[in-house]
Amino acid sequence: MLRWLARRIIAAALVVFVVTSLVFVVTHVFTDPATVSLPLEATEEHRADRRAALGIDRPLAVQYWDFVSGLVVGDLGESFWQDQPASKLVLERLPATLKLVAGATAVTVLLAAPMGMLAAWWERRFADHAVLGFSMASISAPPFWIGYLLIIVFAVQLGWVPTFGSRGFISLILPSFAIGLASAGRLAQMTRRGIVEELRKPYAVTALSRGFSRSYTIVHHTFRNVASGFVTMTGWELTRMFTGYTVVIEVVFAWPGVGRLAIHAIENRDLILVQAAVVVLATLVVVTNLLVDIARRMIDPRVELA
Amino acid sequence: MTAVDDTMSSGADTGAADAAPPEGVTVLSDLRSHLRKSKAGISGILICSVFAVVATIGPWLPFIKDPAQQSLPDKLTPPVGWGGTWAHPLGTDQLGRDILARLIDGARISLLVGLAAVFIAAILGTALGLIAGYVGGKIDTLIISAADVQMAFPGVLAGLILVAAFGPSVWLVIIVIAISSWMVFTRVGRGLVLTLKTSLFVEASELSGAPSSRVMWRHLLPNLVSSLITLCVLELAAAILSESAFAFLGFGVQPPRSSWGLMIQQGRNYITDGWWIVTFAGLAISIVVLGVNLLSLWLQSFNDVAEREQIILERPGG
Amino acid sequence: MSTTNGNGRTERLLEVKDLTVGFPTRDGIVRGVDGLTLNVGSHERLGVVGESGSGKSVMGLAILGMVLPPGRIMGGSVRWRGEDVLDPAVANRVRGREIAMIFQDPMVSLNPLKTVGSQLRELLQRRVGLQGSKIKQRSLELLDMVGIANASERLRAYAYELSGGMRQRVMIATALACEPTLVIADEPTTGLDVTIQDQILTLLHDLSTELGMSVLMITHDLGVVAQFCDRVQVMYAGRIVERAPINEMFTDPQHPYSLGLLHSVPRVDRDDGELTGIPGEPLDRAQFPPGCAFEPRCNEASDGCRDTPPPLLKIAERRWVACYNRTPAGEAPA
Repeated sequence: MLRWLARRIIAAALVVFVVTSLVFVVTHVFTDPATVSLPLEATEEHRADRRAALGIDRPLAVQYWDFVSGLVVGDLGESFWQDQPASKLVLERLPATLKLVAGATAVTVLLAAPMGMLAAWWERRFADHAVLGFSMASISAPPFWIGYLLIIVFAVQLGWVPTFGSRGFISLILPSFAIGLASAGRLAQMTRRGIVEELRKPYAVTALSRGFSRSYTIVHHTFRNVASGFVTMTGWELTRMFTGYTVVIEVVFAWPGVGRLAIHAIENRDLILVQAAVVVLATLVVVTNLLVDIARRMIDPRVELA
Repeated sequence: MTAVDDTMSSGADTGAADAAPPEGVTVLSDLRSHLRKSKAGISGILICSVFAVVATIGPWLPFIKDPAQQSLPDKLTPPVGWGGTWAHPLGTDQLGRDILARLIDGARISLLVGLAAVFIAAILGTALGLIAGYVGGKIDTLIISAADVQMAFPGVLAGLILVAAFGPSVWLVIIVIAISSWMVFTRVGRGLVLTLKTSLFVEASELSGAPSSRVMWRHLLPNLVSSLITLCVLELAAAILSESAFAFLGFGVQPPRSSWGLMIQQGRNYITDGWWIVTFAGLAISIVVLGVNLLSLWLQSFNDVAEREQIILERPGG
Repeated sequence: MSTTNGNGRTERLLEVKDLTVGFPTRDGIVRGVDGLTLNVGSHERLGVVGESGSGKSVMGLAILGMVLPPGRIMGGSVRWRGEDVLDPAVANRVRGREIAMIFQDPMVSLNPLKTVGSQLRELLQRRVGLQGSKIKQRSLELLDMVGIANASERLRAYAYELSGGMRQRVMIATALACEPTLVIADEPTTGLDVTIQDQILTLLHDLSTELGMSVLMITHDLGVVAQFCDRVQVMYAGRIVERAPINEMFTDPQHPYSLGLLHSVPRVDRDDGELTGIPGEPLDRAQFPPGCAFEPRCNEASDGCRDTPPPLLKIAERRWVACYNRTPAGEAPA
């Protein structure tokens, strides 16, 4: 187990390294932070000054070395727009994003697990079709639109919750649902499918033939076998949240997270800060995948030692 | 699809169709008869065709106004049924432009970006998958690792960094969506090649001296087609959603062109006195994506049925 | 059709009548089991033999009122000591307790994530009602009965940690846990080594004698039938085509399909177990002829075989056959 874990961690670190290097290629080879930060009509003299100020006049190899050695100690460069270390700015915003993802994950799991079980229990009956209907609708609607609909109904019309910002637990509810509904729709279908498929497997047929009821067989025989898939899928949903949903939803709800910071950084032509935000989010994705693998091994000891 | 079911019936439908002789049944006619029984398939195809027609010939339809025509006196006219008139059936936006006309205009962008991105991803991804599966060895390892890294670096992040570096544009959005979905095709393509590679007929044609690239195209591609179509439809839904998200963030189409995501971005400041802008634009996205999703659900269930029947008929002992 | 099993000394336990199981496919409903009729008496070992696709396994589960969806039981009745097993309330009582099933592949038929002990425990606790230390005691007893050494150690093992023969013994132990009156064994020796096959069959034979259980042995292997059963029914395309006491089946088979089966048994070893040697394609369930299902492969077939399937008729004491060429013409089914 320990050797497997060590190997898995090294592989994850390698992925982070490759991803960040790719980001460096985009931000320093194809273009550079100085060019991006200046308007097109800036004079050549102006550009040279900016390059020197940002250290971009040095050879690429030196810049890359700086970038990599900075990464190792958590230095992601200086934000041109805010005049502060980029890593500090991103890390300040990180708790808000994590809170949002936690809320969305809670919504996802609390909706998906019961809906998936209902659909599997009443397979091909009304409840199953209803859950399928919910899933199709929720994965077809853009999350940011769901966000605005929730705002229109619950904040504007009913006035139950504040519209924007992050003031306490209440304001977390709408954005969590805006993100979580689509994830719940996908996960509910996966849960249903998992239970239904497990129930057809020979070991479940054996249990049923011994006179155990369907509910007993589902709960005591199939759950553990479904759990590993459920954890994996939840992990995938988490990565979707980190890399897509939160960015858009933070904009909709004016949520002070990493995604919105990145969008503001783009608007202010601050390539270094965008790069820092992207590196941090990509690292979160890799860490999530790692945690999912560990959880799966704990649930099912037969998982390959890949 | 449940496990063993307790429900019984007593000979009620013994009269139902007995095995009909399958004389030269083609996949296509199977597909058609399967469609007749599937409400999801029918509604999916219906929605998708309306969307495709509107996107291609929409601007030339009669009674459709100019989507860019501003008219400040008419700004924020509500839709019919909420105090509006048939002059603007779905109301107008903050600049008095006709919402219906702008929705129809936006359909083109969604279709264009979605199809282009999936097309690029499918061609690129499948080619890489075929190469990885067929050649194997180091090239296989390289391509599969690249797919793994891509999984850890999803499209929106790539989108953020590319837009920051090069500025917003429709082409950039197409490229970003394509690079966030190519590896799906690579995995499926590679998997199918590996299965087929071991099967006898490929070995046989290798023995007879056919060049390897010809073997690949002749034998493997036809087998890929059905999986690829299903996958393309699935990815198209994701691509249309991504396009709307990028447009909403202001990364894609720039004003005065319109796109559904952009309409939501521009309408969001008017959700109190002009809720219809955001609502109808989002509804348009949702309905089209739903249509594509229904189509994909149906295609998948068709493949499932084919598989399930084989399982029943081939299981030893009945 | 008659329901006598021709043996006055035995009590009639299981009566299956006209049981039909259908599977919807794109080409219509395929009948996995088609108008099946059989009876099992007490202390009896009945064999059902047929090739792949003959509906044997579907039949085993259907007797317990279970069908893998999308299949459905479309008609007929299953009675256990006179009670309707297709009634879910009766089924819940009978399953496991009165009729227990042994499945083909114990590797996948035992729960992969539960130990042997916990699978026995849940049966003894929930289906028998034992409590506390009696559970452990009975578990050890059961493993001992099926010939598993180091029983207390094996209780902690998972299925994947056991050998194939050992797994099948565990499967048998779980079947015996509730002291059933009838055991349905669905290909219990398929996939095992020949020597292990023998051990398992001997074990089942001895247990059925000791415990006074009846056994319904479902198999494709005539050798198993010859070694194990008192009586045998031959199944083809979901229907019973012949029914006879074991000796008469081997000395004097009547149905052309039974004849073919007997000729296809290899003399010396039978390690692959496949039945070969009958001309024509094996079953394609979607292409049933309207008449006798065996007609396309039968060398005695005539035009009269093509219209309606032949009924299973009595031709002698304890002998039944479904073939127009063997039964007196014009006789109505009983």
